Amino acid sequence: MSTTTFENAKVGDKVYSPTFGWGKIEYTNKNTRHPIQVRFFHDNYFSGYTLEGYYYIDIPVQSLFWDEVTIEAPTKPKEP
Amino acid sequence: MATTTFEDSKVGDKVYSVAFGWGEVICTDGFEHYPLGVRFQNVVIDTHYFTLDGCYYKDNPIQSLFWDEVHIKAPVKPVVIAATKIVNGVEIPNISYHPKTHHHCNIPAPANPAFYENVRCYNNENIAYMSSLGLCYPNTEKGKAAAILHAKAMLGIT
Repeated sequence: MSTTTFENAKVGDKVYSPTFGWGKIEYTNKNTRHPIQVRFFHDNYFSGYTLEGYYYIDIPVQSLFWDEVTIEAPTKPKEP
Repeated sequence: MATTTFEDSKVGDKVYSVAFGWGEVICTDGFEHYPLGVRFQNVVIDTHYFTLDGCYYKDNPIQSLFWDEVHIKAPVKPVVIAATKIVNGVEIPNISYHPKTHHHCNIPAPANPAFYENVRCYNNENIAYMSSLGLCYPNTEKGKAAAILHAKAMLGIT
């Protein structure tokens, strides 16, 4: 079944972060808070994610994806 | 004019990062290419720097800092079809498929001296069963070669 999250992610899967760009899953450890460990191609940055694709478990916002995403940037709010 | 980027940002502005959540601008002159310093709440490393375009890396120009929360439609995991499959220890091109009724396809035929048969698909039930077993190969030279290899693999004579 198609999924947007990472329960079935495997080492070597390519993933995308709007912040860090494309990367590859380097290892998985389901016993940790951030089981999906990703090495990003740009800058060789290494970081962990939850199975939902959260960068921080305490900030429940998906920021890791299976493909590039389009984001419509909101404009700056007007000063009061 | 309304802007989506941060040329006019000021210390104290509230901003939103796709990775780090809500934060507050703490400086606009941080580093040469990353002037925008933002302090986030509830994160281990609380201060991060961005370009005025809201990018985390200047040479990876993807905006990930915004003036408000953004909602991203998450793409589904792509289905990766392996190029080959293993039959009895033999690697075979993974090109078997589900042919349409009345179309021809090549099937492995271990009892046939040619090791394959080119058949016309009449019966939907049979087609469904054969294709579920990965036995229907396209009616092409590649499909024929794969069917032959499949049959030989079944016989263990490759």
